[in-house]
Amino acid sequence: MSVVKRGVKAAAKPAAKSATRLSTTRAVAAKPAPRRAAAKKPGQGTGRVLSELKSLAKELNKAAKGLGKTSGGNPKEVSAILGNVERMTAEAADKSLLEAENAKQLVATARDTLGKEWSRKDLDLALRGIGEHLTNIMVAQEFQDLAGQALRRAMKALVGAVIVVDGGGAAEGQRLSQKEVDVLLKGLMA
Amino acid sequence: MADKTALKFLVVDDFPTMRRIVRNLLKELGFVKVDEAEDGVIALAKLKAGGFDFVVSDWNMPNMDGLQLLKAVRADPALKHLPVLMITAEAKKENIIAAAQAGAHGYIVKPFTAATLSDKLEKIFEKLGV
Repeated sequence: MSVVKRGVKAAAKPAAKSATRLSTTRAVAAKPAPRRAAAKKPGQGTGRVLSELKSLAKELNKAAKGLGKTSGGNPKEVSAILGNVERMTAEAADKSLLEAENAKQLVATARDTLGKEWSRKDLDLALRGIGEHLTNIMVAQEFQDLAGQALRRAMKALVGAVIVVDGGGAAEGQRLSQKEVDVLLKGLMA
Repeated sequence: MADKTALKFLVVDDFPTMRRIVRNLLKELGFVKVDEAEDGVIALAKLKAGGFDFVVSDWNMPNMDGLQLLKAVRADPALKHLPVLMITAEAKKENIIAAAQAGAHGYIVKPFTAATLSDKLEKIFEKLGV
């Protein structure tokens, strides 16, 4: 999927970083071979083994520093993104519940009306109101899209952007409101 | 076209939930002829096959994003007159400028309301004299 392609391309820097980290890890894992060679000639090989061990230690140190950077920088970003997701889901749930409660209230009122002297006008009004509440419940589900994009960003921050879509959601700080967008567009299209 | 409700829409978004929401909102506004595409590539193929009068597209999508789709539509002599409304979470100034320069007819920022969609569609129809 080109999602993968774009993610790799767009996130070239982090990917390169993680690639460096990965290759470092691989390099560390690939070290036993010289040790086997050293075992053939124990006397002569001691210095070489020590040198290998030193370089191994250096590489481990490097790798550890890289890991330290990852765990030091990204959790903040991930935590902020996941916090946003939590907020979005809570808002959507609140909105949906409120709309459902209002719709139920209208149903109750309409049923009361039916029990007494009912008018077509009142029923029509109630049905329209219920319809509007249902629409609002439907629209509230858009949080899934926004939360999905935010989760992609969180995954990007965690995994190093190898398999995640580029720019999975806009950065909160620079976002314009619909009103600002309208004003800007008006100017651009004039 | 005199009867706006006869217009055929193509809703392009990689999230099925959002496609479903937009489809339902359009239905509520009287537009029952709605098809869907999950990215720009599929959308462009459908548009080239013909029969569509209006495109509602997301920006962030795999394979071909909304801006690329918009540019492809504008570059195609058979499609270049199609109205394109962007509905996206991309709300930076540069996004709006890029969309306007590429020829978007409208721009809606997510999260949006049913009223916003209705308002923007109405404005586009007004502008196009539909």
